[in-house]
Amino acid sequence: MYSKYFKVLLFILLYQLNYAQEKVNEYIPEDIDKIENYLKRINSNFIDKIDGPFSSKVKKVFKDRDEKVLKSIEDSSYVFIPEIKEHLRVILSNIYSANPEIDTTDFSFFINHSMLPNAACYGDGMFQINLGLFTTLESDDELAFVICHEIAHKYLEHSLKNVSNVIATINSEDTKKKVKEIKRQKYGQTRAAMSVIDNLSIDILDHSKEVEAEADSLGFVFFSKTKYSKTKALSSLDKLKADDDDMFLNHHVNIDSVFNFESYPFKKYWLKETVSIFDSEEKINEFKLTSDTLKTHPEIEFRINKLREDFSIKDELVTDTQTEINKIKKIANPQSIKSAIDLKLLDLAIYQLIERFQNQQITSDYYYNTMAKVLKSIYEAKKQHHLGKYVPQINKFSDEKQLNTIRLFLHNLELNETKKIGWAFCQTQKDILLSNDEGVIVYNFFESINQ
Amino acid sequence: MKKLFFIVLVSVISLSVYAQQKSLNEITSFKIRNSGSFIDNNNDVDGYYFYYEVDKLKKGKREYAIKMLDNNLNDIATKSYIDDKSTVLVQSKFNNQSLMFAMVNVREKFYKLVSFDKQGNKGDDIKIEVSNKDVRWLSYMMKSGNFNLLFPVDDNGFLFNYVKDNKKIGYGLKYISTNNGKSWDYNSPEEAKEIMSINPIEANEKVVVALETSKKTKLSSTIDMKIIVIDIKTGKKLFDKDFSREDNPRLITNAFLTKENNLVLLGEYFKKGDNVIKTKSEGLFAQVVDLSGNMISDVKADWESKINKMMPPDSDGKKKKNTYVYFHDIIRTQDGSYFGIGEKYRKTVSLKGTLLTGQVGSGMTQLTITDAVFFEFDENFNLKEIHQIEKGKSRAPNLADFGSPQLNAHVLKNLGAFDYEFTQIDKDRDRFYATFIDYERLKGEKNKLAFKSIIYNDGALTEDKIYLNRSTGKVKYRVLPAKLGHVMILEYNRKEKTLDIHLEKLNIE
Repeated sequence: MYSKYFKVLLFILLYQLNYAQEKVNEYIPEDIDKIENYLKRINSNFIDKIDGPFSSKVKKVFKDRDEKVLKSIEDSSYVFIPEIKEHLRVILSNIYSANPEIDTTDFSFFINHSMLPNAACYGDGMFQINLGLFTTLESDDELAFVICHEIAHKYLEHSLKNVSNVIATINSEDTKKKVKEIKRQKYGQTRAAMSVIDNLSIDILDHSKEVEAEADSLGFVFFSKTKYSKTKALSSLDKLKADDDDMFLNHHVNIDSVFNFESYPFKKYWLKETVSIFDSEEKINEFKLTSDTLKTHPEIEFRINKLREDFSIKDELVTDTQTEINKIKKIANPQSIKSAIDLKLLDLAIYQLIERFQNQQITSDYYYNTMAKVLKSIYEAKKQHHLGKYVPQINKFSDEKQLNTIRLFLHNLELNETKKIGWAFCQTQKDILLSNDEGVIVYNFFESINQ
Repeated sequence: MKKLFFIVLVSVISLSVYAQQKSLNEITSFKIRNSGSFIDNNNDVDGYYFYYEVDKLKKGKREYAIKMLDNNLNDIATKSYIDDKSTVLVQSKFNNQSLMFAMVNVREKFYKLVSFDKQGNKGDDIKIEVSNKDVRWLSYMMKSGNFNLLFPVDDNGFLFNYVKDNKKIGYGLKYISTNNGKSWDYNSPEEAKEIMSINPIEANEKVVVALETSKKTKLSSTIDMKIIVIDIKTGKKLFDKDFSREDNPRLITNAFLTKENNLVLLGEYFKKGDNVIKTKSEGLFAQVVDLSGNMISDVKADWESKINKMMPPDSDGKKKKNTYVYFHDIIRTQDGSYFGIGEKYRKTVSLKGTLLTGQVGSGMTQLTITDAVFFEFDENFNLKEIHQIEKGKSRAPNLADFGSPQLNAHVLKNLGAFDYEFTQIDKDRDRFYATFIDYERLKGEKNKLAFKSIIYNDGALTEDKIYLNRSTGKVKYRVLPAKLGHVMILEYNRKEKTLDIHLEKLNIE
């Protein structure tokens, strides 16, 4: 009798253990609860110190922001990979030890899966470094400068000041008076209110430019105390200029040659666009505000020049850069592709696969195995009528022309054509696919649906 | 992917976030008045529009915003539009050259046609004065279905079809050219003693084909039909084909202009003196007429000697008496063959009605709608095959127990009781997509509601299915027409109160 109960209990225990282990992956670490509690605690510590006018409103902004971060963690927006974490720890340790005046007590850095080379300071001690920085930057020195820039934001409490400033402006007597006057107006209230919003936005955006330049300066001060090469601050900004100049995601993918097979040639109509209602080159908006056209940060070119002049940084050839990041790239590149696949962002997965394969950042084995897997996912998403949920349709106003082409191709492809492409791809790479278990599964899948 | 900015300080908050705060938000929010899609004659969606009221202006005027999305759901334009406070946007169409919006103002009594060219520039407005009675009738006609207020003539112009208060109720058909051609009006005779309406069903660069219907009173169920062919360049009538009850009663379901510029009329034919709305037809017909009005051919497929012999039993294996077919559409493929798309129905006793009333009377009978059928004809209108697609039974209460099943079917069709949704035609690839809602009753499984598409491709019919109740009822699905070969899926998550809209291609295996 007892033995029977014991077996049932043991089964439940093993099942729970197994289930718990299954849930743990690079997005959901084992100590997720600890991490969440930590974030809540640093947020709470930060909020408790906020006082002054409209403090309750300011506190609410930071509280909401923390909740959004926690939700993003649960939604698998962050990756927890020991090697990358360790790499970051070493860089942070160098920065901290060279700058002991910085109180890093509640500092915490998280890696977002995004492929965009970007970083962010949340104000309460939480920082975000995108995976795209690890794949784009070429040395630890460059990454260290980006981190120093973010730490400068925190050191100068830009986040708190900015939120407080925005809330104070919105709730100022002047704004209240303007709102009252608008409400008294019998006609044209909406346009008048939009004009008030526009002017306030312009002021705030102007301020944000100053803030970015200030963070560059102080960030460089922190950076220059470290062992990292000073000129790499400039090259770091230069690499990210591509994003600023809309060059990001614009690697020529040549989709019509990637998916052109002897047994199943590429069809022109896969890239055929439908007739558009308007021929205009950009979106028509007769309600556009002036502030909508302004950028939220100064041009990177301007920032590079300012840094160069303010600190007399000379362009010189640096040979002793820290290139540990190259080892991390070998993890970050596949992880960035994997995240796109896991989140079913199949257009981004294809773009990254082609770009990185053509730039020799991933191996041919990885490329062919993963591309076959992506084609299987596309087939399944189409079959379930889900593809449009994850892969946007083509947008003629988008700057991301290459991504647009991939999207057009994916949505124009029909289900029966997808299975034929999948099979043609598998046949051309038969040896590679049949040399590993996952490849065999994909190969057999396309073989079976093509019979 | 939305563009992000390098090294962002997260505190850079767009003011719009704060505009969410009370006062400014209240003032700046646009109030939605209505929305719709730019849908063409083949049910291909060219885009979507949203009509908002923005501001109150002097002298009873309002500033409106018309937001337009392309057929990929991308925001492409938001135009400002100023008009009277009672002006309502009723319908909009696109003809590859211009966008045309039909506005109605009941208080000020006018229709207004507002157009935008391909660069987004607004053209001159066209204003048509109307009476209250006209607008009431217009509303009635639109509700009764199959009424095209605006009809786009691709690369040529638009037809605007409206109600005119003549001696009795008449019609006006206004053509507006968008390629520098002549614009014209074709109106019903002012002295006409019948209630007359017109509905354009086909047009090209040469002619307009319209179906004119007339009846003596609003409640009269005797309807006479006439096909009118008008020269699109001059607005002059070229000829008409009379299908009156006395001489040649026919129910026209569709019309096509061939490459040779012959007119093909498709529908059901009846015995002389029969009422097309109340009686069972004699069969289906395809009549070919040249543009001088001369009949080239008139081929018929009658129920008794042809159709009934080929009609398969219902999907439950039984061949039931008094089963009829309601034809929603008859279409012509590019290889010249024809497909009649319909649903089987029959009049049955309503158990629920009987139990509730316990006596014979209104509500005792119902229409039971069963399988979808596709009548395939060759280019000479010889019936080749009847394809039957299994579909769950739907029941609709008869509106009058003693009316004919045909009359009830016509009324119930306008009330949306049939499972048929729409058919999209892809002329370039010689395909069509006919769509239905199906309630699947599966053994050992929970019943499932499905959006079923029957696709004609490479000479064969295939089926695609989208289930509408997944995620154990938490997510509600709706499927709407979208660009050619696609559907728009709306997923409303009741728990999280989120709406997810995406376009999906219909699948051909």
